[in-house]
Amino acid sequence: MSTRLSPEQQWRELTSPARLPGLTPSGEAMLRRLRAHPAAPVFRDFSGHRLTPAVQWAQRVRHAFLRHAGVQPRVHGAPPAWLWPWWLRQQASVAAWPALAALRHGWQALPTTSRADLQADLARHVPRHLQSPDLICFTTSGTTGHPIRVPSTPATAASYAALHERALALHGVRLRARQGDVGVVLAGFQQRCFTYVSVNPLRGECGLAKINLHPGEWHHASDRATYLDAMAPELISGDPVSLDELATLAMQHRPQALLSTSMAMSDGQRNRLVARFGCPVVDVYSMNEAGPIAAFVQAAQGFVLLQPRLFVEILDEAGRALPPGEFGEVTLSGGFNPCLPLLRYRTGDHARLVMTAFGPTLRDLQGRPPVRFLARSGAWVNNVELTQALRRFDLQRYALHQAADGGLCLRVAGPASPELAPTIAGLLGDWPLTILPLQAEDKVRQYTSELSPPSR
Amino acid sequence: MSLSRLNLAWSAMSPWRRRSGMACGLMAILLGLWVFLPQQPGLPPRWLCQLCAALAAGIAVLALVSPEPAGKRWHLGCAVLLLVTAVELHLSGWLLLPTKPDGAALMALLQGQALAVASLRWVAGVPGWPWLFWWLLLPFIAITLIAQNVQPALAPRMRRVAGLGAWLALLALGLRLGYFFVQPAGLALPVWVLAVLLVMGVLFGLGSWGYAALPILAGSVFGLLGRVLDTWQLGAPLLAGCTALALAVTAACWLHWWLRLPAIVAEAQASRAAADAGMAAAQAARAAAPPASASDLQAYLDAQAAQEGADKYTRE
Repeated sequence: MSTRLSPEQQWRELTSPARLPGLTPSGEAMLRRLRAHPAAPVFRDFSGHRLTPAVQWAQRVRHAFLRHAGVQPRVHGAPPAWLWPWWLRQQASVAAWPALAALRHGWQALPTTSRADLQADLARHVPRHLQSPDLICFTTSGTTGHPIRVPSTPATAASYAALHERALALHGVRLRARQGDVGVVLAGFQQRCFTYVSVNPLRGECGLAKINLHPGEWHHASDRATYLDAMAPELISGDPVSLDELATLAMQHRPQALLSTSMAMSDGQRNRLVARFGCPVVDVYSMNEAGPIAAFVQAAQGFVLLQPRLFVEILDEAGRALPPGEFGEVTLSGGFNPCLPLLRYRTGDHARLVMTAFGPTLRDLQGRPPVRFLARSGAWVNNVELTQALRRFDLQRYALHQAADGGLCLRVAGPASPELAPTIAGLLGDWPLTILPLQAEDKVRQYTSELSPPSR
Repeated sequence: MSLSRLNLAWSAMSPWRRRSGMACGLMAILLGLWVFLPQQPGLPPRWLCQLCAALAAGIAVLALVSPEPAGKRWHLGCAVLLLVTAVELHLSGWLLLPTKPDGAALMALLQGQALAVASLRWVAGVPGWPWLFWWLLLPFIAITLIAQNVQPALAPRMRRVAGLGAWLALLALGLRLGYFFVQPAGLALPVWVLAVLLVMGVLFGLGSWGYAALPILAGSVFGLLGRVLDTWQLGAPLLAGCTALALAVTAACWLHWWLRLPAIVAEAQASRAAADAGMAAAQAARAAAPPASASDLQAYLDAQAAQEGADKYTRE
């Protein structure tokens, strides 16, 4: 988009008060530094924080709350105290929510919602008084077949940083980048993705760059390492695919931490990245509808909940809350995005919710609905067992499919270990197994099957 | 000041200004009750204090269920005012007097308060300023000036002064509250009020009235420090001066608004007509393109600025 404009026009677009209100000379200097470095990539787009000075102050207070307030005190039982006033406040302005009378049967009787509901009629789930031209839009990947557009606000987008800091604090990392530093680089690795530079006004206008590690976006492939060494970002975020590409670069800089979102990360890959960069690799369970939900902590053996105003339940297929430790669907209520308040929103992801020393923790998190595979013996094997068995391999991404005749096809991004086939055979028996390279660039459904298990 | 002009004034008022007026009216009624009813025999001494607290709680519940931000803020504003009144009733010790003041004593007391205000002792920052001024006038100043920012009658530059004045008034109120904070006689209720304000702020996500509570809370802490470190005399004149400025701007707001009344009425009528026309056009457009809200939302989300999003550190 920006490449069609003259340099002056690009600068005007980049520094427009709508995108970067209150931009100071030091902020401008940071933008120049990010864009004008000889090894800088092609930045194709523009974006900004869009936080007015008043909203920035509000966010400073809000961030303190998001970083330090407690999450839900229980993993089972009555909803937290804040939920009822929150529900009462929103009830009249969200058309899709049930009437007050629905409360007479208690929280558990409230109907659940899903991605399909949001996709069918999003406007009924967005508070009427917030449906305004000031909205911004984030789009989900649609891995489940239900891509939706999530309305949001600049303040909500800025709140992500507070929750990321909370996740990093669980790993002993405290961000210190201020004026003159580059705070974060968002690394993608796709044929084409949204790339831009910006500054963070809440931390002294430290720099932010969203880059694409695909060699086609750079003058020379070696520029990637040169640029990252020169910018020395305090934090690098990405997904398992882009972080894997990052690990192949000859960069010397060691960030304070790597932040991984968007896709599941295997233990093997996490360990390899930790060894390569010598810093914590924080795997965040996050989605556009709810923002960062939980962060993986090895000592807790699961994902520790992050949001103070997000109620997480584990439900069975009928919508009943399950006892602590039971495996079921992760269901969310509340959230920090006022434009999309979630009421018993079924994420489609499955896990067990247990209490650990770190607080409520999601264990055995499965990114999509559970799939059962038919073993040669006639038994049905849950994909959780497959995940646990494959966790030790350094798999960047993989997808396992079972055909109607029982045959298996495993698609793997990157090199495939010779141990993979025996491991799968150990669980599913000696079905014919084909191992192919995974070509898709973005998210894929990890487990699929043409066979239907008998209903329980 | 004719009745018709008053009627005209009321109809020309913005909802915000009407609510401010109603809040002031409510305070005046409470004041009247406060002055009149304690003279009646047989009433328990603390009933008015309890009535205020109960009313505040009821209105706070209304605020919780109010769907619109403006209604919510108004209800919460009233609740806070009532709470403050309850505190003052408690602290003033009037209701705890062994014998109720008779008419002459009451008049003398009120006259003393009025003289204290007129003497501008409070400008000099003398501790023990008239409670009437602090507890009734300061919230009124703050509400008027905040309303002034929401529904302006002044030029933008004056509006900024008014906004500053509003926050200073709230800060001064907090300082006064903090001053009471360490007085043993008045310890319980201010703590309770602070707790209620804090809970409201937390319940409302520190997004709306939570911010209004913050300067009061901060002011309370400063007041407490001033009391403990005996530095009250240093900051008080400055704050009293700022409060005087806020009072002057409040008076200017109302005077300016009163003088411009005919023009404001005309503007309001024109604006209402334009709004009606706009509403009709929007309704016609919606009728032509159902479903209405869905298409509006889609249009907002399709806009270039919306598609650009805003900075967040990760991709989900």
